Amino acid sequence: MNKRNKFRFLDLPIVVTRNVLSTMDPLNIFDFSQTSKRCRSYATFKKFPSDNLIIILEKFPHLLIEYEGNFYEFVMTDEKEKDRKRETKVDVSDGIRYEAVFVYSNNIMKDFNKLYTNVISVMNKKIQCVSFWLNLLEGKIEESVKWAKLRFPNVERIHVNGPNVPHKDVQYVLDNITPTFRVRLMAGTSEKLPLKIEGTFEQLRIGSGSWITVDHAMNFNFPYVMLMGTNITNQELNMILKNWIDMKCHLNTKQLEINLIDRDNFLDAVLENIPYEIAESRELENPKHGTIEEGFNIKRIDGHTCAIYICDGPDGYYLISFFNEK
Amino acid sequence: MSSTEQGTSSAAPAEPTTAPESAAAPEVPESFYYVHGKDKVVHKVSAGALQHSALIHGMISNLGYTEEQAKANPFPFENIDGDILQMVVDWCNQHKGKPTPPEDTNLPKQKEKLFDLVLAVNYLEIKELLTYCCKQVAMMVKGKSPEEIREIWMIPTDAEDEAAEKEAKKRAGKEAAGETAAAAGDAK
Repeated sequence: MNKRNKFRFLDLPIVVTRNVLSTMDPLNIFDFSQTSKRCRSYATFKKFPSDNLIIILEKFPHLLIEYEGNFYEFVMTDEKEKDRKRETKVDVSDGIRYEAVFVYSNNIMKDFNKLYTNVISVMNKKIQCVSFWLNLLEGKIEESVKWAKLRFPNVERIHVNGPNVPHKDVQYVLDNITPTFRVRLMAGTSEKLPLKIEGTFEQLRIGSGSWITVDHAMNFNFPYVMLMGTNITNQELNMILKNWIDMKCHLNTKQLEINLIDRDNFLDAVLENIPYEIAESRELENPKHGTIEEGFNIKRIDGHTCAIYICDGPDGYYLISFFNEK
Repeated sequence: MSSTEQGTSSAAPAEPTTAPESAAAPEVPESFYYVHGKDKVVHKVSAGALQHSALIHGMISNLGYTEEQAKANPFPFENIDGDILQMVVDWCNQHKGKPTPPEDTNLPKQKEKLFDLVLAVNYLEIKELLTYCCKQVAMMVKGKSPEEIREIWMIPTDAEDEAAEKEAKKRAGKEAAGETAAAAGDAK
């Protein structure tokens, strides 16, 4: 052995090996853990504070890891020449880095099972979210849902995505997998028919809500409800607020967000015949969303208050109501 | 100790560069210390530069050496190669009294040198330089496959680890048996 090339990593003091591992990203840590049993136990030194591990189900499954504000992804492929190829993108607007590595397999699901179980074992984490891309699943929706249901019966979050997908496919996912924390429904159905959404989770987020009527909006009683892309009018928003005042809806809801289709007549229509006081402005959790102006406090018949604000998000204006704050 | 001036490194400046001082504000003259590695080449380093090393800083605190005493008593680091100590001294001089930048691209690219530098820096407890070195070590395997990582970092296979473990156990057993026999002999 040429002395100049000698580098026995495992002979370094433990404090140094830990320091080196702490600078490595999840993709590298995982590869390191695969070199030997000893390296696998070293790899578990590394702490991963983020709790965001997402399985993305599309034609080929992915495992996405959020780590230190960036994203790292294992992407399965059936193209041998792509094996171990890396892709890196950096979002110039926010500097977020996205790094993916392709993993070739001729038995995709079997090898993906092995891969994700290995990764979560090395990271000492669990899968928090399963995300379905229905438009990319190419006739494997039932199979994918069964796969996810079997492995993640108590998953915290599910995401359902895809434009113009059949209503029955979205409903199939919702009927078969109930998360413990959040449903994020960004899929748009071609039929635009109402979806039945039931469960005891905390958050419901709907991105393509053109099917949502005022009745649906009043019946979603989850602690956090976000409904975007709806055709709900200002008069209907007024009805929702009046029903809340009369304790007929959203008794369990703490935060309700609905897109505004008519920003201009807000005061005249949304707050028509509702006594209100000006509310103090407040910071929103998402820094990309800002409140447009001061808010309005309204009161329920039992004395609980609700603070209402108009916000400007990436998809336009929306109304945000902080209910039951007393 | 043969810390003669013949050993003063040609690369190491006899008088380390010091920051320009204001004539209007006379300050206490900077004190210097002397270190040498395995090759006995003595390096003169200012106390300011040595502050990067927690180990040396701890050694010189409250020492109160005069220039002559310091020169006569260089700190010996027999476990550090001369060229590696030179690199460390240069780095400490370059970063004396300055905030350290987030990256350092001047670290050695040769694996052996980097390995020895890491060991030296860890021993001397130079936190910032250790961080750079560790990043450089991590970069050696960035994007590499497990097989490539094994080759670059010379990681033994499971079979090799098992064999080494067996060998170590066997050796330990023999040593223990030897000690027992010796103790029995003593008792007689």
